[in-house]
Amino acid sequence: MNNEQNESDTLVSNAYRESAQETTPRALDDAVLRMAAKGNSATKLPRLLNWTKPLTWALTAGLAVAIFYVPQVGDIAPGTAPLSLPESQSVATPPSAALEEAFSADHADVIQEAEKMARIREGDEQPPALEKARREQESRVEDEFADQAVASRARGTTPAVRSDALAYDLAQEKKESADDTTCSETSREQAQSWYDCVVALRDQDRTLDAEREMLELVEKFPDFQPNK
Amino acid sequence: MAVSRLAMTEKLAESRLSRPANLAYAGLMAHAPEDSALMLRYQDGDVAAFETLYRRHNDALYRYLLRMCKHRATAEDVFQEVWGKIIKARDTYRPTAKFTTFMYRVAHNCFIDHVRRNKRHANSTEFEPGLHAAPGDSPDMETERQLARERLNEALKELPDEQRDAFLLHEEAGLSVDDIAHVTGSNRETAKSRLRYAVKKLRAAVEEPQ
Repeated sequence: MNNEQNESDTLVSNAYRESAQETTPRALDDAVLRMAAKGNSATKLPRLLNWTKPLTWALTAGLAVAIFYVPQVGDIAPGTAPLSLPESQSVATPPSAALEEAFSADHADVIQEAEKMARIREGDEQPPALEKARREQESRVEDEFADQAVASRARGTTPAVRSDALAYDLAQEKKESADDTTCSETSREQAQSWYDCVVALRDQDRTLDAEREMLELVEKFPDFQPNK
Repeated sequence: MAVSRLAMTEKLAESRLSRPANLAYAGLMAHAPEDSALMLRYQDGDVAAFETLYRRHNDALYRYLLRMCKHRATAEDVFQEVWGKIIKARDTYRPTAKFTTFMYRVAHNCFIDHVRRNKRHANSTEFEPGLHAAPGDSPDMETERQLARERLNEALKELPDEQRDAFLLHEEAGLSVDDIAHVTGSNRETAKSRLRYAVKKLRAAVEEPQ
C-alpha cells in the first residue's frame, strides 16, 4: 500500500513535470539581465558618495555645538576678572584700532554729530528742528489760550473754543503737574486771592499753570472782575 | 481498514512533503556556489554572479508565475517585477534565509499585489500549458499520459489559489512545508494541510478512469 501511495505522488509529480516545460522567453531574460546590469551601475555612484553622509552629520553636530556654546562664552559673569595676557605677551593694538583713534581725533565734531543723530534715532533725544517747532507750537497755543481767556473773562463766559492740541497739552500738563503746588485751596476760596495767585504764577513764567488756574477761576467765579 | 488506509495515506503524504523535492538543478548545485554567495557577489558589483543566479532560477519562477497568474503577459510582468525587486534589494540583502525562500516570498507578494490591483483577471484563464510527448512511448501510452497531463492541468487550474500556491512552491521551488509556510505567511499546519489537499486532488485527477 505504501508503494501504491508513493507511486501516486510520484505520478502527480511526474505528470506535472512532463507538462511544465515552459522556459523563460529570451526577451524576458535579456530585459532582466539588462535591468541587473543597469541597477548595478546605478548604485556605483551613490556608493562612492557614501562618505558624504557621515561628513554631513559631523558638520551639523559641529554647527549645533557652536550655536549652543558661542553665546555662553561671551557671557562673562559680573565680577569675573577679564582674561589678560602677561605683559611680555600683550597683543599689539590692531591697525584698525589705531586708525579709529586717529579718525576720532580729526573728526570729533562729525562723530559727536553722528552720535547725536543716533540718539535721536533711538528716541532718547528730540531733533533740534522738532524741538524748536514744538516750543513754537506750545508758545502759540499759550498765547491763543491767553487771548481766549482774557476775551471770555471780558464777556463773563468760559472760552468757547479750545483746540484739541490745547486740550491735550492742558491735560498733559495737569497730569504732569498734579503734585506741583500751584494755587492753594485757601487762595482759591476768594476770587481775588486766586487771581493774585495766577498773577504770581505769570510772574514766575509758569504760563500754563497760570492760565489753567485762570480758567478754573473764571469757571468758578464767572462774574469776577480783577482789581487793576 | 478504511481508517488505517487513511492514516497511512496521511503519514506517507507527510513524509513526502517533509523532504525536499527532487529538483532538476540539484546535481549542478553540488559544486556550484550557493545562491546567497552569488547574491552577495552581485551586491559587490559582480553582474556575472547575478546572471548565474538568474539562470538557476528563472525557468522555475516563470512556470510558478504562469500557473499562478494564468496569463502569460501578466506572468511576464510579475516576473520582471520580482526580479526588479530582487535587484533593488541587493544592497539590503542578508543571507539569513535561503535565497529561494526569499525569492519566492517576493514572488508570492508580487502575485498577491497583482491580484489586488487587477481583480478583473481573477476568474479568467488564458494560459494553456503545452503538452509534450515523452520520447519512446507507444502511441497508446502517449495518448493515456497526455490525457492524464490534461486532467492534471485542469485540476491545477481549478485548485484554490492557496493550494495551488503550496503545490507549485513545493514542485517548482522545492520548498519544504516550513518554507512554504514562511513564504505564504501562514503557519506550518496550514501550509501542510493546503499541500496535502492539493496533492490529493491532483492525484485523483491523474488517476481518474477513462
